[in-house]
Amino acid sequence: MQKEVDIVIIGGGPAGLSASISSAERGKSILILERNEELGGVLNQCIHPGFGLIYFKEELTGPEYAYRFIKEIEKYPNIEVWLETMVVDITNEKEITAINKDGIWKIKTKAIIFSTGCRERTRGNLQIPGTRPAGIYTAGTAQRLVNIEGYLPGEKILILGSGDIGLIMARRLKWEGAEVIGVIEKLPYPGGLTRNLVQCLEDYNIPLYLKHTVVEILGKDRVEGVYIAPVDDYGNPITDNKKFIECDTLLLSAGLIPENDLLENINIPLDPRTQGPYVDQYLSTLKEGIFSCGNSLLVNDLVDYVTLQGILAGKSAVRYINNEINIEKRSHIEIDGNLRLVVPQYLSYPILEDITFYFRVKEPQKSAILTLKDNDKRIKEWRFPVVKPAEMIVIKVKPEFLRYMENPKFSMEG
Amino acid sequence: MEDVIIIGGGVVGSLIARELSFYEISVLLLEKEEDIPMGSTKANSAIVHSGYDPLPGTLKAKTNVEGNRLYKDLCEELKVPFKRIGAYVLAFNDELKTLLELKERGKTNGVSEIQILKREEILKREPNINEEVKYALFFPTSGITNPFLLTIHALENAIENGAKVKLREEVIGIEKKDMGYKVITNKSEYYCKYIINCAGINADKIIHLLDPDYPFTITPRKGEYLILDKKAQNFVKSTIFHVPTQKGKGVLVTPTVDGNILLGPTAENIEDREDKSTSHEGLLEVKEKVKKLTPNVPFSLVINIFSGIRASSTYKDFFVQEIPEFKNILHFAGIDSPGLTSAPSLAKMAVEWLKEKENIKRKKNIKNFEKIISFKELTEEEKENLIKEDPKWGHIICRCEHVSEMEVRNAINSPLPARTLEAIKKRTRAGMGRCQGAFCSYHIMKILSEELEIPINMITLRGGKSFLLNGENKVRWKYAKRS
Repeated sequence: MQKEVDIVIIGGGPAGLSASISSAERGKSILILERNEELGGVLNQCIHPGFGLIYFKEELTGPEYAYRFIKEIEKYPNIEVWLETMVVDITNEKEITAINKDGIWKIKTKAIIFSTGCRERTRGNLQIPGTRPAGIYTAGTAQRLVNIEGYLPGEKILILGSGDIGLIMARRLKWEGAEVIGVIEKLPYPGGLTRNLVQCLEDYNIPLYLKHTVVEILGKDRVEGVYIAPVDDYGNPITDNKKFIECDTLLLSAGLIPENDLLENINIPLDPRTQGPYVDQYLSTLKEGIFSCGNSLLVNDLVDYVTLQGILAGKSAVRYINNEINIEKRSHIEIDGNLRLVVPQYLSYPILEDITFYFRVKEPQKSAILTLKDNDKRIKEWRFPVVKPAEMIVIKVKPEFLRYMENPKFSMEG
Repeated sequence: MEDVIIIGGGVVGSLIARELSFYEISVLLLEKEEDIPMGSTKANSAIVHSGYDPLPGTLKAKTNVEGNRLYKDLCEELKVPFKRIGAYVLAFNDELKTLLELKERGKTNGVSEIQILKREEILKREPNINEEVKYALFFPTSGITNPFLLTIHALENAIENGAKVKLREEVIGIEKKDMGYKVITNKSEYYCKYIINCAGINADKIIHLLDPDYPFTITPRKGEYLILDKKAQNFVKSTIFHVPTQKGKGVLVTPTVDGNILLGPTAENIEDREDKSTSHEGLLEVKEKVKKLTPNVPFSLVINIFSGIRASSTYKDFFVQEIPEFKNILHFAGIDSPGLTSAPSLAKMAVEWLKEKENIKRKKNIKNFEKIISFKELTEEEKENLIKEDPKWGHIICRCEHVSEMEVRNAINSPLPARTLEAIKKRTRAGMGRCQGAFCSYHIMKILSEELEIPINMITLRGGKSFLLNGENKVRWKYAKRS
């Protein structure tokens, strides 16, 4: 079956929702393709508060946050939503193949916005040795089981990785009556936001073991326990000091991987640092007419940023269709020092508006200075009392500071 | 009273069940686990070997080469993927002599079209092979298959042709009777004229039920593997081996029929035959050894690790014999590598054995295996038609492997019903992709609960007590009491 629209948005989570509204406002016909049975993405299972402090200036739960956008979408007759629809292929000519209960669809479009989110790192990715019993879950799967399906995965739980979902699940499972033995983190510092460390672990006396990892899983049918061991400064486990911990469930909260398999199929280059595509300030990938936002662009720690990226991608897609983006020159942004990643990675000239840059650092650092340079000429600097890998740095830069740079470079020094 | 009882639903037992189901005899297969295959057939390299490795004159050599020849037709009949991708055996340094011996051995065993290649040609064909390679043998008849589907489809075809299967029944005793034998399981008793022992890793236990002192012992040997994401698909096109050693064909790098890359196995003698764990050391050993074959392995694309156990034995060859005091029981024991390749040939041997004992007649109407539809493989027109028939075909629930809801439901409503998460995975690949079931497992658990009409907290990963949900104190009304 055939279909033609101006813009296709792949993924109806927070990024796709805001992208659809911002492009629909500008009069285009929009189709959202969502593989789940409802819009909202991972927000639907995030029933804890803490969302929207930046964007709405109030504290909402995940479903409340999503609902504000879902309700807004209903106002736009030019936004069509297809649920339980799976995109299986994309061609270089922007023809999308999707499958749903109505059949196989060939969708022609002028622009595509990718808002496909992330998947979680699995036991296989982490290569944790041992047996293969039931009771090993990623934190997100456990969250879905508890919060949406209403099932408790286990009763005696150990969490590997101190990412935000893991911390939130520690508290959530405690509330549901499970015994949460602790959270194990391989790095010398926690992976989640400070507020989650306080509200989810400290408030419930759940211990956090830094510089430790799970070295072996035991149990024939169901998890019976794990061995944990301290790691040395290079991250190698010191197995002589391993310790047995009895548990029936191991939750993994050890990182998210942006889902960009479809982009890779059409050879759109990905940044190995973000695992999302390289983009310019329009959030356009290096293939014109294809945009990316939200957690498939880079792993964000706040949904508010995801929303803002969605709005920008939606607006850019409309401008692209209207031929309002005329790129004369493009520069690649380099990073240095304690910076691990930057988005956008490219500047497309001329620059007409403020640009928001997102950074993550490699290591925690006190009194850090972020400097923008062009060919070693200092343009501007920003000072931070403290920076942490778990917390994104977000800065807005005015066009006058970014004018025609040959070799723009951000660096972070002490 | 059955004519034949087969003990064990691995690839050998299942293929024998299928062959025998084509005759006018009653066949019963007993399997101790919740599904098949659960032992050595489940976790191995999935290679259909050409036959260069076994010593000439052995049963291994004979059945390997013959089994390899039978594979193409067998896999077509059972709708199982099979690809003759060829295999390289690499020689570095001064191993040319070994290579030439191997070539001779292959020729003696009846392996055809063996080529000897020099460095340049090898690297042209497989650019990821270690540049230090000097020579290689290439065996074009070597192939790859899907051992799960081969075993499951074979047994389902046997069921379609009248064979019976009892799962969760472990044989704990065998008694000699006037008419034949009484087979005692943990649940029941069965009488039969003939027994075929295909108990794999436990085949010696069955022998020892008859004669505790019989000098045959399985010495389980574990092999650990890593599996790479389909993104590594083109890393190698053929199976890559090093020259073999005493301990076996060593660590290999191979594509799988589904487009992943498989690395392994180690070879470690173990005491506990249930020990399917992986170890830090084992995985490290695989990595070190595959780096010698292909230095640039993208280890960042590892999506899973697992181990399998070879049913090696004190008897160097396959042990396919009757024990004189216990006539009419045929043992297939010590079936380690190349067991998967040899299985079709071993199944033919079982038929010949029975024919010598009894005048068995072939059935007139043998049912061919009905195709289990892999939705992903169909043309778009075929897909459209199926979705029109039932919209559940258009509901993709495994997003990594693009498995539809209907495929999962069909796997449950098949001659050999999938009853566990792992059984669904083996039949459909749902959960076998890069997210390893993180997105689809709850969905499949719900479908299993619905189709099998059992409470969701009774759903297991692979039978026994491998319950997926262990939290009794959450919304208790949804749960049934398990004890």
